[in-house]
Amino acid sequence: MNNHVRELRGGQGWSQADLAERLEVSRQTVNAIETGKYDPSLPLAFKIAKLFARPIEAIFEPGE
Amino acid sequence: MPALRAWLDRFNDWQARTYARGVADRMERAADGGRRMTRGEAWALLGYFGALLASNAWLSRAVAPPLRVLGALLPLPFIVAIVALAVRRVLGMDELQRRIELVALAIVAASTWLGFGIGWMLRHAGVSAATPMLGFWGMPLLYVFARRWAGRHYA
Repeated sequence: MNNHVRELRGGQGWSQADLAERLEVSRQTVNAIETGKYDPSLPLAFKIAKLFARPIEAIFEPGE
Repeated sequence: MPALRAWLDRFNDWQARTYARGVADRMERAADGGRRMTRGEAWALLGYFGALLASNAWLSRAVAPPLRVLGALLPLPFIVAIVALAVRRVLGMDELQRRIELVALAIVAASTWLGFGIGWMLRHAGVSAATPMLGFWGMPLLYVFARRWAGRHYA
């Protein structure tokens, strides 16, 4: 799955640690999501969407 | 002067960001401490080794079957306590850490099942001297390696 978390985070001027704190997860989790090594659970994906005020499908899209 | 003021503002922002990042990193390191053994787990482990020694001493003296059963199962409450505390610790982790633990446990379970299967077949052929103790001590070691591998896989 591809995602735009890194771009959205960068747009807010947040570090991975900042985003991790807001999402109440570890920085490793944020890094793994951004690099596409880990697909977040549905609750976490909703949390990310709510934080960036975007629909989930605008942040996450199916990969090849 | 406006250029100097702008530069000072940027410098102040950078300082604030660096400080905030440092605080966040320290908080994360503190949270990472949760992955290490807690005091309760350490006591349960100590109790387990104590019970293991007591069980050995008991079994060398006890003759009656009920007493031997009691002696053999002496470490059991401590094993249950260690498992319960470990489950509680894993449930308190974030979802990626839980995934890493799950992958590590799956690797250990599959390897142990395979190892016991191979050991049983070789023993059946009369060419193996492997004992269950090998699995008992090998499992934690394998878990450490599996957890490290899973952690790197998601890093």
